[in-house]
Amino acid sequence: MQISVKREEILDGISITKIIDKKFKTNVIKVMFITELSENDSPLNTFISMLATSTNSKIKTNFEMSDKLNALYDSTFRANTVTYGDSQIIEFTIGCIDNKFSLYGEDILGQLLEILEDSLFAPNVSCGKYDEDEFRLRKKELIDMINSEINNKRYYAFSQACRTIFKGEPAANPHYGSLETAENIKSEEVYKAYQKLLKTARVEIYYVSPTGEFPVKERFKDAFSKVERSPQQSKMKALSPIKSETAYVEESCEMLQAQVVMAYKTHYDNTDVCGLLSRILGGTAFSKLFVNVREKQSLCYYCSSAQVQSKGMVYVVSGVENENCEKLVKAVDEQVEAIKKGDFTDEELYNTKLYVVNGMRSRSDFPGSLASWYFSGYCLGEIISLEEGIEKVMNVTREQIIEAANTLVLDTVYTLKADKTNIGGDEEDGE
Amino acid sequence: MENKQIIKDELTGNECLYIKHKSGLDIFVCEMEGYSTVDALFGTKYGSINTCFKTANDKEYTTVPEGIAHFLEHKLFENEDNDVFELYAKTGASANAYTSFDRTCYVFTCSDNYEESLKILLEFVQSPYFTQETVDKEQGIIAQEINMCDDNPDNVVFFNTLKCLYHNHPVRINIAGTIESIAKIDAELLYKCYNTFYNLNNMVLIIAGNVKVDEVLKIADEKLKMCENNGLETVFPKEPDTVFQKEMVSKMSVGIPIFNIGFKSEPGSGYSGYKAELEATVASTALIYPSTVLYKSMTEEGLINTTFSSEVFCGDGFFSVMFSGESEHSHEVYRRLCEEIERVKVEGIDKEIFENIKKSIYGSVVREFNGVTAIGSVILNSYFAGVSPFDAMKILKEMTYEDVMKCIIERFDSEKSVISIVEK
Repeated sequence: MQISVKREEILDGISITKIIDKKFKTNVIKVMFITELSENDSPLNTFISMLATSTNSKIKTNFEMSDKLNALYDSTFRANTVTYGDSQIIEFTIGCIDNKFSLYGEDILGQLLEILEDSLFAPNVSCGKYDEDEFRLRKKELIDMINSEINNKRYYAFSQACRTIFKGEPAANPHYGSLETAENIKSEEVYKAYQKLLKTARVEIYYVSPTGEFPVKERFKDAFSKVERSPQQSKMKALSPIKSETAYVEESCEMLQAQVVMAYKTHYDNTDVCGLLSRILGGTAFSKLFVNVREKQSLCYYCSSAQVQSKGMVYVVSGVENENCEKLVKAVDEQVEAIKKGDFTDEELYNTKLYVVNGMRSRSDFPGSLASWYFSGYCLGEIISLEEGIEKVMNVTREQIIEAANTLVLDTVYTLKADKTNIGGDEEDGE
Repeated sequence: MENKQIIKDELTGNECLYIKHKSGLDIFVCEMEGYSTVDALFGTKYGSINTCFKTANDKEYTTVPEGIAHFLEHKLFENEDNDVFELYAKTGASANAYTSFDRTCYVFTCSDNYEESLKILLEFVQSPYFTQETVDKEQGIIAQEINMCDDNPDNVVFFNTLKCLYHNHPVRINIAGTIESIAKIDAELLYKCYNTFYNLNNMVLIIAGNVKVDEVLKIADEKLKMCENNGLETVFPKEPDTVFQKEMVSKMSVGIPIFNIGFKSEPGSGYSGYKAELEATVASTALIYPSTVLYKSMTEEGLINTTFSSEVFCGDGFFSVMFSGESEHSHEVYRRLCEEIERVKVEGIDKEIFENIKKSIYGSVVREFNGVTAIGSVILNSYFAGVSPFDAMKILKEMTYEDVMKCIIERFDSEKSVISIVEK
């Protein structure tokens, strides 16, 4: 095995995992801040991540930041926020080609790491407020992002469905916050949220490299040592309460194809089993939904399922004609019932395992994907190697799949119907 | 008799082996030490633009319905005995296919049993089985795929740009066709297209990652059927230099209006075409580089946001540069962009920006060689462009400031530009 993995705690609530594989041509560093998901702070944290990747005390504007990253051979500095259980993860990632490929002997990783450090520890702030111009531009960007969510109909439908699926839970709140929140966001409150994040979040750092030569651990240890810290726990697993009766919600949007989201919930506590169950249902091109709903009934182009382990949910999404929505819901439910009754072969189970295992092995070829594997292990409370993970998947039994399937309850059916009233009629303005 | 040639990039140390197989097929194998994954791709030079063609045996050209290449791709996954996905299921591979303007590709990715998966790939692509019943069944699925694409504003704004830029070239039609055009497809037409374009002399196999050349060639020898070159000719209707119409506006549910601005220019081919593509990439990036006065002023005035970007879109008989983004004031963005182009033609682009962009593209090319799938794509794109897999590095190294300025002067003509907008 040529991959070497070493994790160590560098300060209270801060750990670093160094992953070395000499085949890589790039270096990737991920810094994950883990904090409580909250209606107030989460949109602010998202905004902090947008500001951090645009500006810091040395690189004052997004224009300069882009210029600098280009000059560092198309290096990347990105941020992303995701929900996990009742936690929010604010993820910062830098990536660059290894120094040995530089044309003029530049220390690419060194310079890039400095940018990341400045953005995390020395923001573009004076008198407790972010630089006014950058703040205004990023605020517009956030508002634009919220407005543009409707452009991607599948994502939009899922996001709308989450309001019902997780009603009364932090996960019901929109990912970027509401338009109203974004419009009223204040520089001082963002800076306060930044200070709180730095102080209270748990931090997981990943350094994936062909050599591991760079003193990443020492640099972060030094930087975090200067911060007053009081790390706090947040719930990484927060199983969603199951509704006593299925909630049916129907809305409409100007489009051609209806979107259907079906959320099944379970409190069955085994990620590997529920992951395989979801794959058997609709996670491969030989799954129940693909074969029976798409291929045999020709109802749709896509009908797939996925698992959200931290919330105890398996959900199905599909795009169909308005008049076929009910037919689709019935067809999906029939396939879930079939699995509950054990109507799947040992071969189907074995093939699904092979498919999942193939995907897991492939992770070792991608630096970012390797880091994500170890981070998801951290989130699950069980950090294991890919090989150990593969063994766990292969050990799942048919009985466990049936047992887990029988705990699935249809919690929510969300339908975004296609409103075709005003569709058609392009305005063509020819010469 | 097979021809073999090692193709190497000195700068990154990457190499692959090219084999002209006796069956007529071009094969590229890239052994990558230390990788777990295998990525294989079996492609034909047949895409949505190839709607009119003939072989040496045909007296007349055949014209087929729009979307048939894509339809054929779907139908090839069903053979006489079973569904191809069921076969792949036994190997654990993740299989898929796609059709674009100029190609149809069948792919799989796996980390075990690649030999078995490769056998499946080579077998099913060479074993068509179409009946009217299965064709009818597929029409419902593809109709939903077409609806899905038509609900995607990015897709709509892009195709509307092509409809504005091109009078006759079939690049202006949707890859999947329309619900009406796919209704005209039958089993006989599918066989006609299959027998014309799925000739191994018109195809390529690319396999990269945890593979061995000898094992790949053994399977190729066993599975590939000898093919006579059928003398395929594809033709396109004559395309004027001018644009078809200056503007198109569509109404859809979007948050903020989105736009595409397209500049049409002379298509190229082979090495010079690929060089032109890279020059246009540098040129378009330089024009809207974030530190330019244009980009800064338009951002500060709220005319554009960070989605504003450019891309070069070219292929057999078409070449255009696209600028896309979100704006409440798309026409003003268009006006400013054209104005900037005229200024740059006289005053030139910033030399520091030019060097930064070259370094940036070099970095992105090195990065592509980090991944198995990306290497397969690099080889495929080079193959379809008619150049060697690592020519991008060479072209980039030799590209001068003057080359890029010449490109801006020749390929960014406001008279041959259009705007497409999707708004609420």
